[in-house]
Amino acid sequence: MSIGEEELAGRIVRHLDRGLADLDAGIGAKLRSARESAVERLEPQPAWSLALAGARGPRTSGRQFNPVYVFSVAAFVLSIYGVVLWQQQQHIEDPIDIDAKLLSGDLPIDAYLDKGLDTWLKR
Amino acid sequence: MSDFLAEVERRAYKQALFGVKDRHVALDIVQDAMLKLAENYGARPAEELPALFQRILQNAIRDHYRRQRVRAFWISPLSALKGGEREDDDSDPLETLRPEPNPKDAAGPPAAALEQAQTVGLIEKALEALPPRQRQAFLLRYWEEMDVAEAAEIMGCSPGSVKTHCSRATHAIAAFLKSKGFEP
Repeated sequence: MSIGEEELAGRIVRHLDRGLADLDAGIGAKLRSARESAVERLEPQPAWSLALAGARGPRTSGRQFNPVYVFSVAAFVLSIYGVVLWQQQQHIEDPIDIDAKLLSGDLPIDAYLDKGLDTWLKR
Repeated sequence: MSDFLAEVERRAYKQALFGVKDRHVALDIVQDAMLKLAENYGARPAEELPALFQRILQNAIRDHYRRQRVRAFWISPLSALKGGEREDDDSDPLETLRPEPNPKDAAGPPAAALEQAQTVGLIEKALEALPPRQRQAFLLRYWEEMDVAEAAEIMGCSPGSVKTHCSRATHAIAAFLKSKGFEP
């Protein structure tokens, strides 16, 4: 073959490009309609997102500044924090309850069966 | 997004048509690809759109092949035995195409526009007859002007395979055109 492969492919593609101009008008209209439908489906950009555009470096994920996503992450973190606080409170309150019951004489029967109770009482 | 889609929509339609050989199905495929791009990737930078759109389009065309094969399997056991159009089939279906009348042999001076239209028609026919992977590689690499690595990523194969498919496709189309008396 006298001409290179790239040149050959380029010539073929130029013919294809010229052929696009002869595409049926009906097909062209349907494609335009499909394009318009697709563009209508584009999510509108919130105003605050536009204000931040270009101010936070490259965007890696489309959902990182989605308000629903941010809210659900915040709710999850808060609920975890609440559980940890509640457990810590439980640890503090348990000895206080036992002391109060001991002092009030309302000692559970299990306490008398505990081998360490005598030792503790002698202290 | 609108400008990008306006620029690629005709080529996308032709790509789908070469693959599925049905105008309505090709239109449906392009429409679905446009909607998916807008819904899922509307916020992406403009320079990422060509590769994303091609990935969606090529997947849609491949899905059509799969559905067609399943349908053929259930409708006609004979067609399943023959295998239909295989994606990895590297045989040369161009050899089976019927010869077209050569406008240069026709009476009277051939009009340049007619010759151009016939050349395009023959190229499109040759593309339709190519094995799907060769056609896909050729169109991505040369018509969509993607580099070999991009085309390989979209096709899910190695850059070497893309080069091989492109080379075979280019030579097959050129040989087909020559056999009909046309120079590409």
